[in-house]
Amino acid sequence: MLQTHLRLWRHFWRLSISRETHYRANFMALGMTALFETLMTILPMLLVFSFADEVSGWSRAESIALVGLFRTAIGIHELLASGGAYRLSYDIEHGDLDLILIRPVNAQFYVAFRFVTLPQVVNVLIGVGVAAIGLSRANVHLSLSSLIQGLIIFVCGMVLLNAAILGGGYIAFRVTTINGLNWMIQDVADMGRYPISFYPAAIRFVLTAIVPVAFVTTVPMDALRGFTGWDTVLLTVAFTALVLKLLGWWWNNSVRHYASASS
Amino acid sequence: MTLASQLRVLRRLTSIELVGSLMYRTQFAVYMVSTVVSIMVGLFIWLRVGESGNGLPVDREFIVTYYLMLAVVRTLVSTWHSEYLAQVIRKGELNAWLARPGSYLLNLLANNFSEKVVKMSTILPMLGVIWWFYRDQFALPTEMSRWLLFLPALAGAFVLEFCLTTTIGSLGFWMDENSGIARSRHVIAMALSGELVPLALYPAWAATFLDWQVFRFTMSFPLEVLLTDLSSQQLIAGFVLQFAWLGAIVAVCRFTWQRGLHAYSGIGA
Repeated sequence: MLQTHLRLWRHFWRLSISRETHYRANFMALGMTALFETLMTILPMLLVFSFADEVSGWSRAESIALVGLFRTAIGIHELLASGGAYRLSYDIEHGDLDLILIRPVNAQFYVAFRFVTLPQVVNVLIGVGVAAIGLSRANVHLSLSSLIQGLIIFVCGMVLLNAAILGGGYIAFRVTTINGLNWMIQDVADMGRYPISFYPAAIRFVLTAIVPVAFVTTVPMDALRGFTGWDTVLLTVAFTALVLKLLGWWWNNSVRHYASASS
Repeated sequence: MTLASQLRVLRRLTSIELVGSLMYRTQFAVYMVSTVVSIMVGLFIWLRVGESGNGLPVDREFIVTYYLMLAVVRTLVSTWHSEYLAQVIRKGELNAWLARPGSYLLNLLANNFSEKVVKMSTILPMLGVIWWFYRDQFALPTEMSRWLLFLPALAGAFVLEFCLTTTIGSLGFWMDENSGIARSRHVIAMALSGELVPLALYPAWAATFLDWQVFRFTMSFPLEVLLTDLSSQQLIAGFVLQFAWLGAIVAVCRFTWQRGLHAYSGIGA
């Protein structure tokens, strides 16, 4: 089963490469946009720290490393999962989901990962670069333990973030006229480009529990800075497992509301 | 077509589009939550910086009023049809409009106006909630002169935005895919229009460039006219520059659209 899905995923990549070679100018433009977007995320941070040496316990270099993690996470999401998530409401509205549900593959997997947006590779690489630069300039002593903790939390965070976006998208099974929901969730996730301690308490709760972007930015950075321990890692893994279980249930429950074309 | 008949067509198209827009009220509410969220990030961050920094060049009152009014200005000014227009061109859907007495651009304008009505009715209550939390720091000017100057600056900003978006959409006459260019423009505009950060918070060495570039006049300038004490000289210079940019961008838009129509050959343009 796993092999089948891996083979399918490889085909998604091949299709994407084939598609992007037809739109080379657009590929270049999207690559440039990724660069601009990173600069535009760093710019406010630089402006913020031109007025203060430290904001809510974060230095300039640490905040830039966090921006790098944020760009990496958004890049991975847009590379692997955003295309499918945004297309879902259209497929439900037009009955195109029929063609997915009858395939001999896990439909939830197919819906989530069918579009690979290749230009986003640039975003991921830039994000990793920015995170590395930020960390090298921050006064952070990286240990193997903190690196592993940060990595595990980041991977869990990616799963959680994608689960939130996909889970939000499944609402389209019930309310077909809400196809902007993904954009809204992404805009909320966009708040993760700043440390969550910059925000009021209510927003911090949203960014941790509802659209858990904190798990790809602030929490892994806290792990790298040595502010968290293995207990946080275990809690994050347990939370991720629970969310994945809920997402599976939410998908099965939502598909039951699908009544083919014009549903 | 005379201006009067074009306005008549625009009015009718707007009525039709408004009926369509009202069918998707919930969807517009979702879009407006997105707008409010993205703008409120700036509000929260700069208020926090103001608390922990060495002193911003603007006070809390300015930050609160700026970001709340930014949400209104952005809703009134923004246009979103570049990718849609390119798609209409690519699929040959423009054919029907070429046989009609009104330009397709009138339809885009009508769609924009109708969606603005629905979006404004959705966003104002949301802003009202945020205003309630920050009402002590929210201060709009009471001088009528500022409001009278704000309106033409806002209208100019909308025309600039509409023409910029139409120009990028018109690239669909020659390009199969324009989403990359549209997104690049959006990202650059966010930084340079004052949407991401008020232009007053940029370093002094960037001031001349920021004052002259086109995106200032699509968002920041109307807010500057309304919320800051611009001298008469600064106001005149600002309006002259906005008018100059308007002339240039309208000319580019007309040129691109007309050359595109000549190049258009139905499907496969």
